[in-house]
Amino acid sequence: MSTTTDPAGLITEDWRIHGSIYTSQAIFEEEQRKLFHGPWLYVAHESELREPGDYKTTHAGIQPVIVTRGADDGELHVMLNRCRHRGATVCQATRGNANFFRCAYHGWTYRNDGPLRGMTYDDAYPELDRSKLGLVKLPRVDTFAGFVFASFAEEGPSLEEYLGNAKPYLKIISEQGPEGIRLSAGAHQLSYGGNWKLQVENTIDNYHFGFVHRSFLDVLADRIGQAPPIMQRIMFDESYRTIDLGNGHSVHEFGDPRTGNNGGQLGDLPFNLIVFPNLCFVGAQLRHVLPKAANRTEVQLYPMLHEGASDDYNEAILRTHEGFYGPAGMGGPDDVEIAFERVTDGMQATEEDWLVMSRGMHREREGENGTLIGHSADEVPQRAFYRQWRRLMGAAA
Amino acid sequence: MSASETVRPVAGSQDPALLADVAAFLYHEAELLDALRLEEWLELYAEDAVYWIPQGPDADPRVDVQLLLDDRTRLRERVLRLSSGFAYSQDPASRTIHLIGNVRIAGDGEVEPPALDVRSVQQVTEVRRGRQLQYVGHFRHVLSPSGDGGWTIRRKEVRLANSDLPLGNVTFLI
Repeated sequence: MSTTTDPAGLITEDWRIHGSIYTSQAIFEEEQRKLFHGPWLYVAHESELREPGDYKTTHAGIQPVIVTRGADDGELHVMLNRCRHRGATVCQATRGNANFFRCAYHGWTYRNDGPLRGMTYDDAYPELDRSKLGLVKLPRVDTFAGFVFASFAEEGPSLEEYLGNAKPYLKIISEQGPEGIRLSAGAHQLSYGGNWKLQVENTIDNYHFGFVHRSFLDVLADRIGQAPPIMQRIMFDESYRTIDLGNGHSVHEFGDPRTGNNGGQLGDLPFNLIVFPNLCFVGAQLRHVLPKAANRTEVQLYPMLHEGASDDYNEAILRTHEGFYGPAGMGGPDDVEIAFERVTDGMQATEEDWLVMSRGMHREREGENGTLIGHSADEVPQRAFYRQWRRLMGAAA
Repeated sequence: MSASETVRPVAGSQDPALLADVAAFLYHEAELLDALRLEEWLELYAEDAVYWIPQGPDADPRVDVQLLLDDRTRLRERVLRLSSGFAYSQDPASRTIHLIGNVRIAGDGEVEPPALDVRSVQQVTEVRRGRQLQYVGHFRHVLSPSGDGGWTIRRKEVRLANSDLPLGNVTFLI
């Protein structure tokens, strides 16, 4: 049994990965310090926060946050959902509109852009500096193509620098509908007993599709009267490729990212995209992966509706999404069963604790802007992710 | 329709024989599900049947994501998938037991006679992966008389109490 604890020692030069990356609570906590506390984190899409006072609650890493559009300034704010007095959450709803958040415990009230507005019976605090007791704000909030990100770090690369080669793909996603996209349909919510990275790295893993999703392929074959061509294309179509975009981001292109399509069976986006560390796009869906513990994860799957398209068109997006994804879908739960839960069970066997993540490393080739391009079914996206993981985990906190 | 509308008291048929008949039909459907006799179960559904599990109490299927909203074609695909031997989320299959209560016939005019609007509460216990989970919900069946003196399911709605919580694997048929 290995007792390796140095993050840099958990990934070998020949791309073997140590199982403790997925099972160790100590590593999970280190990830919270280094991956989820500094780098840019996705928190919302602007369509969820159109009007002054609009808010949503979500998580930045494991920390509960409120994302608001200021009632007075109209700007986006991201704040910890925690009363400065005794720590209760001040906002309970998933979404809404409010000018103030009032803690139910003792009635402390905050403006929806953070400052403490009032304390009840405040003559008992003659010395307290109220100006320092607003909701704790994430110091940097920025948007790209409608996607809202925040960072716990005062300084660091700008959002655009951080997104880098992922930007053109995010732009294409944002232009899917005649007038853009919106996340107004709510989200499927998944819960599974396994590490958060299992969901991220399964987002682009074309090697698994024909195995894990064989029953769905059988359904498709029944629907269209012949074997669906997806596995043939993954294995042999040269326009299908995986790309390490740098900074941990990666993409799988199936056809031209601007004009291609996948036959509409899983939504029309002609690529899958991973934005490090926990934002993914598949088909017609934005996937926000929320780590909870080393062995517990929640995932929110937001269908992206097309702004300016007909109600019928958008309803069809929902029904197509539900056919594969969500807790009752005909595809996603097979990933939960095999790629998350069976993997987690299997990795309790630690006598030989190394995984093989080297598929196709010999045939990666350099692309433009520092990218690495590989075969559709190779583990290029996984290596892209773990290159960044190793870099950040090796860095001082 | 909101959940509060769905669960409001309904004044329908009080005919004990009719009530017993539709309750027996619900028990029969549940027994087919618990026994995984899915082909026979599918035969209970009309060609234009709708099978709906909303997500959340106020879900509008036109604009909100649902757990599922199947027409007969997709319902048949579900049975096909579960019978394929490769539906890993049901390998092994969930063992389920349906407990049915509060059966009544609604009479609020939403359903045209001779169809019946049948409401029930069902508690579904599921055992899989070494765990026992509970699902409970308000169920609605719209039933039409079938030619052989029985019933055909035109519509089934399953309003689970936990439908808007993070869920694991609801790929067994409820």
